[in-house]
Amino acid sequence: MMSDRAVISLTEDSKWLTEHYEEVRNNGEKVIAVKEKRVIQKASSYGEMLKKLEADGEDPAFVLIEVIPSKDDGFIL
Amino acid sequence: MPRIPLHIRKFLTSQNMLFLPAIFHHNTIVGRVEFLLDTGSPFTVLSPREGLRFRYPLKQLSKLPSAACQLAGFKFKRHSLGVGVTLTVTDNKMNPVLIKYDSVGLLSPTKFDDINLEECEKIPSIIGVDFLEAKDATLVFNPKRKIAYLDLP
Repeated sequence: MMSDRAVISLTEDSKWLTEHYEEVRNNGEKVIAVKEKRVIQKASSYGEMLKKLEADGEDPAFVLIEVIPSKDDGFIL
Repeated sequence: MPRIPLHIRKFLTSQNMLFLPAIFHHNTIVGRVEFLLDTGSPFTVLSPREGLRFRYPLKQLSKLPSAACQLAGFKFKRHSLGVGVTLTVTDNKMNPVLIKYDSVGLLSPTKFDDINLEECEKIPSIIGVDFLEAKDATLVFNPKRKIAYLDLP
């Protein structure tokens, strides 16, 4: 199990992304990785992001990775 | 009664959608997941992209016979992860809350190749209505006032 601090930190990253979501999307980012309330990596696909994070020495399981759909994307879930 | 805040994002075409950040635990696998809360989904599932990230054997799974399901126009196979799944979330006072749930599935593409994976990488992991029912959870969502949370008993 993760420490309480780690759980809180991950929640804070998620909150940060929610607050900056439009800004990130307007920057045209496709796939981003967030850690400690900042974008630590960008990529054009999810697979590329996993490779970049591993090359950076980051464990992708513990980083917030988000695929940012463009404003025109839409699908019915 | 734990109150679990949900995050409201304009995920697609400026629609407000609800996300639940959680730490996913399953056997030796631990990692973070941003679940989309979808009351239209009967299932709670990890998306293929999470499957890749957590190193589930998606390629082998895609060859196995499993229940088919459609999500956002994509066809997937839905595999049961069995028992032992725990989600850790934080309540409105930032206290960790552990939720055991043994009905989480894993989606794999019906064909495992780069094209299929890239096409479905936008599909997030989903918390479905099955989870809300099993956990006796109450969903409160007011998109205009940007209020969203889950109350658990």
